[in-house]
Amino acid sequence: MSGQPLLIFAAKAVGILAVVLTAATYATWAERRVAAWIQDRIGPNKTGPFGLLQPIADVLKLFFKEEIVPAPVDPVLHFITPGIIMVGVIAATALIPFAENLTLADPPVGVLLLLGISALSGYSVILAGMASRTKYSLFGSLRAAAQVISYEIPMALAIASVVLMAGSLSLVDIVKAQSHLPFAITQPVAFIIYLIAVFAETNRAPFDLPEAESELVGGYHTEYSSMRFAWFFAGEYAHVVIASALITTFFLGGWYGPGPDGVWWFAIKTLFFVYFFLWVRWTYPRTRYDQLMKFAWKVLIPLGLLNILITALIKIWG
Amino acid sequence: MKGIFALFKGLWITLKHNVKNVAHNTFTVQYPDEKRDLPPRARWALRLQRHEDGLERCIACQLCAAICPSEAIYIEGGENPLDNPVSKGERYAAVWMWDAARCIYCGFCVEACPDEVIVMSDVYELATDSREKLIWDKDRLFVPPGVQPRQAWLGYYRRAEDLDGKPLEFPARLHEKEMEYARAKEEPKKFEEKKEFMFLEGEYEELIKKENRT
Repeated sequence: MSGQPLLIFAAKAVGILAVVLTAATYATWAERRVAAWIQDRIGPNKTGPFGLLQPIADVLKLFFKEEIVPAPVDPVLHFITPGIIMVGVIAATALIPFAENLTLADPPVGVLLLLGISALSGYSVILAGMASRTKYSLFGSLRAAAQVISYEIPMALAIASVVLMAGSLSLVDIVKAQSHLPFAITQPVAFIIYLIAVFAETNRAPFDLPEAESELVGGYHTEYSSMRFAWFFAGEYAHVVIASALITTFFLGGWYGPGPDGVWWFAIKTLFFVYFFLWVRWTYPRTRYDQLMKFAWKVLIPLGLLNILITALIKIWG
Repeated sequence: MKGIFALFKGLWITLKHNVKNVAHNTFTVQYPDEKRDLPPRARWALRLQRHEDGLERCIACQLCAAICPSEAIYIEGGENPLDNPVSKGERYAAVWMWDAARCIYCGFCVEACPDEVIVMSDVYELATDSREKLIWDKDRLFVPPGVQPRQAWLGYYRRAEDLDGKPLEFPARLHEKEMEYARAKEEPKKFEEKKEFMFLEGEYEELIKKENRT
């Protein structure tokens, strides 16, 4: 809490949560508009100015939809899994340094905590598919299990080289180490590995195999309806927003930028990466499953290890 | 290496489309707000025409009902009251019903009509919430007095003696097309390369010859 009065701390927490969740909600709007623009369409533009009220209409609709729970599901797991994905995503927001004095928590092992929390959302996807007890959901969760585990390794390796550069596991210290030059420039290989791995981590195209609509109906969330489906959906977009914020934190120098530093630089960089997520989704086709695994184990992990080795050697002798 | 270049090329292409469509989307017609221009002879809901003085053109001859392949037209004739005439003939249509659900929009009724009563309009928003509403009665079918008939349809079937020397008033686009065809017949060389007319080269002349023989 870093010695702040409780009230101010609570106000900050609520404010940051509201901003992140609003951003996640509007990411759905942005996804639909960007997808439409890329495909020479217009997208939702009738609900309010530029269709900006569309997410609100969507949420209202999902609230009032009938909830259908298939008979063979595991009632406990089926009930809690949509919560787990949101818990993981929301807990991660507490660790993100938005600006110099706008961080809710800065534990000295922030990076480890973050990796642990983001692994939780992987569990949510895996358990959701298992709890549904149908073939498509099970296929989705099988893929999620293999994919999330494989891609956490290159992701952690990329972060490890960043940690080596910064010499600290605290996220604030990592950003402060980039006050002159962002790690995207000094660690380009780690940056690219992280960027690729984070697409698999968030289950976004071209690595959206766990939900692969065209093969698996809805993948792990096939058997979810109404607001429980909405939790998965919101969780995915919140994950995209958080992942963009983390790329900004780890590799683009967070709140530092040319000109006056501040939270606006963080917002601009994060929004660019949210757009990048959408842009990539509507550009590339989905990879095949074996290609995905081969790429992680034969390219990204060796590359990440090599990158750590070189970084460490330079740190020692350089 | 080539593959990595292709990745960036793909991103560049989608970005170009994105930027272009944010500024101005050229393809989408936002239907209820914007409506597409229909071809001048688009065949949609029937409209029945009136004379310039407001009298109904229909004389209940039943030719349209007879030729209709899907029996979408039902007409009951009535004796035209002399003191308060409805049409200009001896008879008038007491009941005129058209079933939008049965109609196949072939336009035979327009061709069969001897008095240029029926015109196919560009009213294509025919959806309703009951089948009864798809049956149009006289009130809906007859245009209000003073409304100009749809020139493309009337002009096409109008007899030469009715024109009184006035030129046909085609809608602009159609007019251009017809004129181009006429010019092409006069100066065949100039239009030799353009083959987007109704007939291929020589086909028209052959058709005329055949007509003359029979």
